[in-house]
Amino acid sequence: MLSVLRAIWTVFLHLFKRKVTVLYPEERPYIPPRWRGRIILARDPDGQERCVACYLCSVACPVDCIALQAAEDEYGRRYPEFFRINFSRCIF
Amino acid sequence: MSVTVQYLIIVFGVLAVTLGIAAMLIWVERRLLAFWQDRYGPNRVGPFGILQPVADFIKIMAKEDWIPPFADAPVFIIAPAIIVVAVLLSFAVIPWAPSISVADLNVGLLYFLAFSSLGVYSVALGGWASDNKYALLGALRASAQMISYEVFMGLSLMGVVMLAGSFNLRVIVEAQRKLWFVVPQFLGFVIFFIAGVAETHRLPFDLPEAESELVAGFHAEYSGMKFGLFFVGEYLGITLISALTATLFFGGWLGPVLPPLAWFFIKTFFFIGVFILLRAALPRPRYDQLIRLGWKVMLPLALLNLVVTGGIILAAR
Repeated sequence: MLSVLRAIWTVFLHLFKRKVTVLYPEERPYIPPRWRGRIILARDPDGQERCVACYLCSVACPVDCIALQAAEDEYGRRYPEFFRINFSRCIF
Repeated sequence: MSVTVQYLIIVFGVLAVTLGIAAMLIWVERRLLAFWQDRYGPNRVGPFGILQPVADFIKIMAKEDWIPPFADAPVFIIAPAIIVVAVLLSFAVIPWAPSISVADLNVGLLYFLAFSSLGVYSVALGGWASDNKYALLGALRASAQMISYEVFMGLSLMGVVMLAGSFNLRVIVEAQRKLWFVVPQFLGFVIFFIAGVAETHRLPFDLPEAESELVAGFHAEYSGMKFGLFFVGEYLGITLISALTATLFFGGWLGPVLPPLAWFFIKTFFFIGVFILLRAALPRPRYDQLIRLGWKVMLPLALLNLVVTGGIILAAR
């Protein structure tokens, strides 16, 4: 019985607590400068894929949605033969 | 002539105000619930979101009004109207202010109890006509709950009647000039309010429409404005119970400085807030717990209150 009254009082006090809602169009949340938002394969200034096919991203991905196949060009530089991100499986 | 016009103004004024309050409660409830959950609630439509009910109304009118082919169509259609009509008729005896009430009945309280009981038919018939097992279970629960809580709802008010010496709500209010009845009848007030929550099947006593067990209970098959009418009926019920609590236990329109109507509205809206606070704070009890609370705790308490009040009045004589 007392616990019921205490529950009601606790909930009532929440009237004066700070709201957790961020009123989006008026106030924007702080976004860290390095936030990229969406996973992409970056390109270098020449327009080439900026990837040396080290597989680190594929290993780190918890749901295994990154698949790639390493290859080497004639100068011995590694590059991905294909680089696939399965967005339907991505949990980011 | 002018008397007739005055009556018409009061009748239609009361109708418009009660329906207006019921509509606004959609917004008030969502807003208050949100505040108690550290959110903002609907605040986009109009200033502070106050036009949200208008948007909701347009939306619900545009929805398909579906009658399931297996339903008992005439009963299915009439069920939602019953609750609205029953509750609106109860408002006839509420004294809003010394000169504002639709009917000054000398059996006002009995009249209210009679019409609030009629509301059960809406839920029971709606659930029955839906021909759906969840709806039927909800209707069964509603009937059992309302019958159990109706009993001591009436009994809890008899203390007030004994103190005021009348069933007339206006006389009851006038009898509270010296002392609000909540002081001598505190137990009666608590029992009446709990019974009122159960009567309007609001949370925590919303067993007839328990979403987590019964889909939506008695109104599982309803859509469009028929569903809307059940909700209007529910909000009207909240307003009615709040207004009656204010009238019977908190001196109705009596109060210093402000005009009587303002006091009545302040008290009524306070109890509407309590209704919503209960919804925000309390979990739903199990069905057997609900019925046990009704018959084994509330009914004996109401009877005890009745006997003690009667004894004291007799002794004081």
